[in-house]
Amino acid sequence: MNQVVMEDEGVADAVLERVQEYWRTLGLSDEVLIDSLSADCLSRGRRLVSRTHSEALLRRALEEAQRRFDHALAAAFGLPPSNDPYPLAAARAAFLMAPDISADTLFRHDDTTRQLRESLAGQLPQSTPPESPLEMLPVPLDFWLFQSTDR
Amino acid sequence: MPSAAKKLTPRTITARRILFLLLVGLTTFLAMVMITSAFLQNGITPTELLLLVLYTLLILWVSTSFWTATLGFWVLLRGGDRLSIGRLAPSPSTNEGPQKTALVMPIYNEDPTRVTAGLRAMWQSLEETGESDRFELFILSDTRDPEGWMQEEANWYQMCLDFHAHGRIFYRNRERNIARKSGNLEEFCHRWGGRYRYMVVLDADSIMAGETLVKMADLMDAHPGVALIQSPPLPANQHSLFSRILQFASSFYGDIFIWGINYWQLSGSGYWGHNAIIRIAPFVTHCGLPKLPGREPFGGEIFSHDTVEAALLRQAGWEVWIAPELKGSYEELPPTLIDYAKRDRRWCQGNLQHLRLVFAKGFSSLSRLYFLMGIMSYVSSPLWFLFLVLTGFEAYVKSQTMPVYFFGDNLFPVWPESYAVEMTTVLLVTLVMLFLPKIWSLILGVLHWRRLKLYGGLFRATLSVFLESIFSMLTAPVLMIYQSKFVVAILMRRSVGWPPQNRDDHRLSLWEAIQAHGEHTVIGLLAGWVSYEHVPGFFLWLVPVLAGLVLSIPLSMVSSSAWVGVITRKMGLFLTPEESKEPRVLTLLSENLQMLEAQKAGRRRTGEVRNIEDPGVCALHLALLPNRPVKKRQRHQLRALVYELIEEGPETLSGPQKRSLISDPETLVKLHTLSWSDDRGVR
Repeated sequence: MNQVVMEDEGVADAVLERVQEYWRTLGLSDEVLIDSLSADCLSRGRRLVSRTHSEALLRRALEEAQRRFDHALAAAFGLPPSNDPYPLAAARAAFLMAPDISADTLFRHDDTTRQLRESLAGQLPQSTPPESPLEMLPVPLDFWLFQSTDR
Repeated sequence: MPSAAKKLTPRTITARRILFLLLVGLTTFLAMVMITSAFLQNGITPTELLLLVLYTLLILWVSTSFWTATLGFWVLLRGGDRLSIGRLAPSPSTNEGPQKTALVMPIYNEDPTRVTAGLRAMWQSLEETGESDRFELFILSDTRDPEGWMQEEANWYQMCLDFHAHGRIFYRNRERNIARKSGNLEEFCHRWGGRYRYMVVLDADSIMAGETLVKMADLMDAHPGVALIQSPPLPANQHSLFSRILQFASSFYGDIFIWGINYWQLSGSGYWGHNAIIRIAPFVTHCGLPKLPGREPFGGEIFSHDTVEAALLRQAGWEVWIAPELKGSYEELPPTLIDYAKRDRRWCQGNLQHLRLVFAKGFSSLSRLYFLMGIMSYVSSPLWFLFLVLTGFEAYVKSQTMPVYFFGDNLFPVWPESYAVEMTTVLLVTLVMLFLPKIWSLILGVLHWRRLKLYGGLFRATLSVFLESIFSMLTAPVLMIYQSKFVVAILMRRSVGWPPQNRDDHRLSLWEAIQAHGEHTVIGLLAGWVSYEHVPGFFLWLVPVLAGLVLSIPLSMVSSSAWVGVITRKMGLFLTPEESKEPRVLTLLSENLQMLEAQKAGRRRTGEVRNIEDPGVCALHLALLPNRPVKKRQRHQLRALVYELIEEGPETLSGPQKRSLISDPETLVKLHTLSWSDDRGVR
């Protein structure tokens, strides 16, 4: 029994470490914040999966981290709750790919969040401009000796 | 615009084309008369008749190239052509409709680092002109490789960040590759064509200076009857010996050919598929390409779309120009002889497909001539091959009877006494026509001393010309065999597909060279042995051809080496002005390449990856995915693929399967989480 508990603790530590690493990749640098958020994610994960299923536990903990990050991001950007994943993905991309931005700001809920929103608003990925269509129809070609193209 | 600016008249166009065709026709006729008179001595045999036909076709081809170069030489001796698009008087134009120019780069599984470095260099160069507001940049990706796709997106977004160009630099990855590059451009025109007045079509290896782009847009503004202006792209930026020799040849001899082409083609010029500016309205109206009836290689989608698009524009009454005075337009060459041949394989199929278009109703004679010239650029190889074989056969037959053409220690063929002069003259005329353009370029070099210094000065430039001539003489038989094989394969209806090009420097291994050139070596040795045994006199004439074939393995290996390329550069050989005095846009390209490579190396060191595991790259990919509903059946298929990925690993999935996984937002997020929840650090 003791051995099972020790193994379980070992798995939990490893999962916690991985979740902490994930938070750092999301741009968090405040270690206290990272520890507290990771612990919350782990405990949420534990409620959803069996104690010894390490991969499922990690997956659930990571999903919780993503959920919390997106929630903070949506709040910072003022995005209304929606099933459309695109605006949030765009905000996430702008936030994560912008240089030298700490995600700690997202969880502070102070004036820096507004500044962040303003600075990132112009950096949302806009991969294509509004369409301005033109009709381009195949030109029929008639041949001597050969079959002509469809009209 | 200078006061001497002239207007182009139909009379001038006709006069120039008649002069060119007369020169070509007369040269061919004279060569034909000489060889016919030699053959007719004892009555013409069927083999001789066939040789006569072959020689006529080949000399027609050689003299077309020779007279183009010679007219270009003459034009340059006189300080250029007043009837070039850059010197013509502008026409009144309206300023209605969209104003902007789109720089469009269609890409397909290219190296994302090189593509980005090139785009960044062009954008920076444009910004330095202060007129970048007139342009927008579109990356039109047809990339299928999932990792390459995500890297392209990340690089695009980084560019937008670095240059504060959000909403000015765009990226789209086409869901379905229809009709290759022409389909890619067509889709762009179809969706965003109304937003732009012009588009500059680029290749993945294109580099164009900002001022050249501005100049091209200005020229289009000044000439509203012009639908397309082709800038002559110079090969640059490659380091292997093979590509450096070709770079030198294109740079040193290119001018006379370009000015020669402009001399006789004028407003009826061609389109080379990239580094050209196109007026979108007529392009959209007249250049929608149909599928040709039948299957590939002669039917189906049109491979070499550029020549056809130019023909359609000309047919609709629009002008198509080449602009010899435009500098700052570059492209990259394949780094090895084998890569060069692979590229030829695709081009060969495209050009042979034009055989059908020669018979299309409505095209002008000029368009048909261009189609034929494109076809001949590949068909000439099997014709030369056949000519050599038949000449050897004829020499053998003659050696068994009287008169004997080759015997004893004679270096020159001993033709029937009264026609020896004619036959030698025919041979010399052919050689002169092949080599004289190189002399023309040297003469121009001497006359423009400052420019010659950029080629390393008179001595080094002359030595480079000499060595390049030997190199091209040795590689010509190898390319002849390659191209002959391609033509035969295509005639047997074997299609080539759409393989991406290899543009990186890489030295060939011995095994690669043996695989590629083993048969050339065997052919060379066998032909040498047969001719030496049976027609020794002919053997000596065949030595240059045989040498190229027998030496093809070491030649291909040595010429693929970037190290040898750099050594020759240090020696001042095969120098080009772009190497001696690097243009700003190429410096920017090198800087960007260095920066991006350093970033890549840095990421490799820290174990950072730019794929689905990276939350930022993954989010960006998700944000760029088109919003498409997924059917229940597809959802189940995607789930099955995810399980296969988990259980068997990513190696078991095909490219299209991986692509379908990352094309679905829900699966993408799942995969991102899975990439973080694998075994690492947990067990």
